[in-house]
Amino acid sequence: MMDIKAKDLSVRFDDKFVLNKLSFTIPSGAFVAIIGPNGSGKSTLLKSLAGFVNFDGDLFFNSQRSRGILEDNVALAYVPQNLAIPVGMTVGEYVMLGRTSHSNWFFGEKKQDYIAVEKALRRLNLFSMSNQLVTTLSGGEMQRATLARALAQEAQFLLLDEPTAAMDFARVIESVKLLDKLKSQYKFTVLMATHDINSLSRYADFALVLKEGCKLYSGEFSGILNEDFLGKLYDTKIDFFKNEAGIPMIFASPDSRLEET
Amino acid sequence: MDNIFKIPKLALFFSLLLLVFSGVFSICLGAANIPVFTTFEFIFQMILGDWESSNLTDIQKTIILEWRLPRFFLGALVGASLSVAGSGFQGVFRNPLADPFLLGSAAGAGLGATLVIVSDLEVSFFVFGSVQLGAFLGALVAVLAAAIVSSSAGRTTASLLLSGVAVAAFLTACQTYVMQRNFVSIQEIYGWLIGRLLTSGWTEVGIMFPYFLVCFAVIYFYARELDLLRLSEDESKALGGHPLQTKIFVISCASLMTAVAVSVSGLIAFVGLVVPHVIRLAVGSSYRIIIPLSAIVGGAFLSSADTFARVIVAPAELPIGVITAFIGAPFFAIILRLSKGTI
Repeated sequence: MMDIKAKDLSVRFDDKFVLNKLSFTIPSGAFVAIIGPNGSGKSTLLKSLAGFVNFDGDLFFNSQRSRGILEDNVALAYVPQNLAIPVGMTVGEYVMLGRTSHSNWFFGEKKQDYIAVEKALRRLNLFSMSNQLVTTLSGGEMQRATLARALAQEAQFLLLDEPTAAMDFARVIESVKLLDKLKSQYKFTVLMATHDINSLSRYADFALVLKEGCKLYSGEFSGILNEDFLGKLYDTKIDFFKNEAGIPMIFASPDSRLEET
Repeated sequence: MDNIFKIPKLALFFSLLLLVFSGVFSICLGAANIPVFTTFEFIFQMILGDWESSNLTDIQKTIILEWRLPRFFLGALVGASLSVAGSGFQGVFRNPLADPFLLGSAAGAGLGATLVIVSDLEVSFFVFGSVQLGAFLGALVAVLAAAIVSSSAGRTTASLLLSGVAVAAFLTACQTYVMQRNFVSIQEIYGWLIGRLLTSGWTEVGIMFPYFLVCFAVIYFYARELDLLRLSEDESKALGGHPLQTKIFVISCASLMTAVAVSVSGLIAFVGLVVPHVIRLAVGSSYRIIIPLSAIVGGAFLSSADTFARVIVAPAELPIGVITAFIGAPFFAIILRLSKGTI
């Protein structure tokens, strides 16, 4: 189990700060929502934590200084915003790619790799589709395939960049719920960049909020669920409701910004 | 769900069978036909070390040993090199249209060889001759130029293709200019460019074989990395891949292979593009399958095409490129129609 601690983490592209001196601590095994308006640096934060992007400042895993999760040889599953869906690849092959660092480079996959892949496929109800091409999967099935790949990889960190962006609202809830279930079962840490505050409010336990590369908030997810904070974050008027079960629901108000345009 | 990423035994058997048949055709057919059965008999006897008891005449033996056999091996090596280089490029650039020539490496090799021939440069390095050295450097510079132009233009499929086209056009223009300014060498250059397998016994095979072996081994070593690259670069890194290292080694080796192939055969189109796709469509899309099978099938395809090129208008010879495209294009069109979205 690994805590992540960042101190003055900054990323610059040319002379522009994309991330500006972020300091935060993420507890191990948390479901972390990274929230912020478009262009606030969510994807860059995921990439620098992973070690894909060079950063200034300090990053610690369990108090050990690090240049990103990858550098520490910790299994990390990363799902980018625009998922590349390889043409001609079967679901079985796609999930087997998760075994790359486990299997033997020269002699290929061993029996235990096949067992791990089969287990992952069965867990996500994809086993019957293992010979099907990934290009024929629906959005939800494709996402389950990426999760199966993460399970086969035995990943300790799941970094997901807006995984629910292209899903209908029923699939969004389904997939977040599934993610939460898998997280409790396999004890990995989830970091998810997202705009979907409503769907996450029941599942995410930690929020990291960015605006223009600066940290606005880090802490319990429930801490961001108020009109003033979200209004300031998105520069808009927020309508805030609670349903009968007491679950908060947040919408950008249709009245917002009308005066200006 | 068994045998993921493994070459199906049936596919391996048929590819090897194809290579053997193309070898037999290549040895038996030509200006002087040699009976198939006696050829087999002779080859077996040769393998067993029993040279004398053959029914073949001495002239037939000489034709087989000094002319047809080396030519078959050279054709097979050129075909295998172009096909493996083509699959390497397709993998690294994640583009089904990439082939050794589309990225400008042939134009680069052409210009490099032309400059060396024109300037009468006599440099050799290890087993590299000067023309091969020129062709290799030309090919490498061309591919790097295409990759650099494309990367600053956003690294999209379209930008890669366009920068390859631009680099090739520019280098071809330079090459044509140099060729036109040097009338004395024009025949030598043209002879090199149009593409035919001219052998003087085993020398070319001997020169080419080590290059092929090393480059093939390196590209095959990176086959798993090429499969990871079918995802995004960041995903590949997260899964334990090394995208940058893969690109550098595969592009270098594919360029070297292309350059060496081109230096002994001239510009033979279509093989490097089509063979990997035929394997992809018929057998599987993993590079661990495509690369080794491309080598075998590419070798068989090119040496068969060479046999046709020798036989059709005998005693004259057609350029092999004419045959590879004439047979390859319709065949590929049929396979493509049957592909149903797997390419």
